[in-house]
Amino acid sequence: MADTSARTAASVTTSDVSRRRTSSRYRSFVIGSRPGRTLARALALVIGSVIVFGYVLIPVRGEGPSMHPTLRDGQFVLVNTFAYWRSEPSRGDIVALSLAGRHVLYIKRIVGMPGDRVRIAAGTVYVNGAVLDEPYVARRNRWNVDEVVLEADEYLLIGDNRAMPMRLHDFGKARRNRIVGRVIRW
Amino acid sequence: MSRLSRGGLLIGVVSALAGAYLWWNSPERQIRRVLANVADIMSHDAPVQGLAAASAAAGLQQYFATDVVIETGRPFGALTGRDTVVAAAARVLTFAPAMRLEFVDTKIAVAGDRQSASVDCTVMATATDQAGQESVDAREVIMTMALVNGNWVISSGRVVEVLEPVS
Repeated sequence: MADTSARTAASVTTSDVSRRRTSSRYRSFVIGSRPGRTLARALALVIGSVIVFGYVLIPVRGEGPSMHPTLRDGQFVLVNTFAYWRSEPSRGDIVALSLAGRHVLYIKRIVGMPGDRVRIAAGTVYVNGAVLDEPYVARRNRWNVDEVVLEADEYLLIGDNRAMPMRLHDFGKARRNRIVGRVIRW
Repeated sequence: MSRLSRGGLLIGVVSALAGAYLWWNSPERQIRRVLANVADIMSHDAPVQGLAAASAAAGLQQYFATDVVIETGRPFGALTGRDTVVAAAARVLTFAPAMRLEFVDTKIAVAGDRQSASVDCTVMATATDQAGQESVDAREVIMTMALVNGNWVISSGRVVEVLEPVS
């Protein structure tokens, strides 16, 4: 019996021991010393990511030229749906508007606030009779829009690309309940 | 397994099968199939010419009521009648080099008599021009569906102006 044990012990080589140690270190690195805790952390990470990127910070890929040069076609941004939890949208905010749901969103900039009188003359936006400072507009086409008076929960939203013909640019009034959140870009 | 357990299991299985059957044949699922079929017909990878376009568009007839009215919004007017809608679809198939049509964020409300339903959805059209450049247009659309001879058909549709034009 002792001889058998000796032969068994002798059959375990140095490389076997080395491989087992490497495997153990790798396993420890990936799974950790407590697999249950690692699994719980992984699950929490997945659930947290689903909640954050599904409902709080919605990743959106912009399509189209209407927000040039501020946003490029195909650029990824995040929509912060909690941005207006305790405050209201402000003039100059880039916001996302919902259609039937949140699978597709319009991205525009708020130019007119509720109650404002807004008109556009030769490409220049006038709010309540005063010229609106728009440093984000690179070039202006000669747009003309008669004065509109916004209602209590209406906002006027326009894209930053004023160089394009007005008839090709989707812009206009939207109700507050259409605004999903504020766009975060980097 | 005791007799009580067997009975419970049997009831569970029968209930599950009944539920699956009801879900499979529910008006909502049938309406979603109609929209999916319309999207499939209108989606194409290459221009569809002549008779092929007419033939493909003709496949849409079964999904629209004969007196359907589709208000497409500015600058286009209303399309009245199934033949007009099918002809417009044939033109789109012919002139758009490639297009993918999708109905997303679909909300369906079936009336109490289960003979009509209202559908609120976003229609996304991704078109590719001859240079390979993609452009996307998305509109919110509200449709009325009617159950005709056991099949759901689109009886009316209108584009919802998310951004109400001021010009």
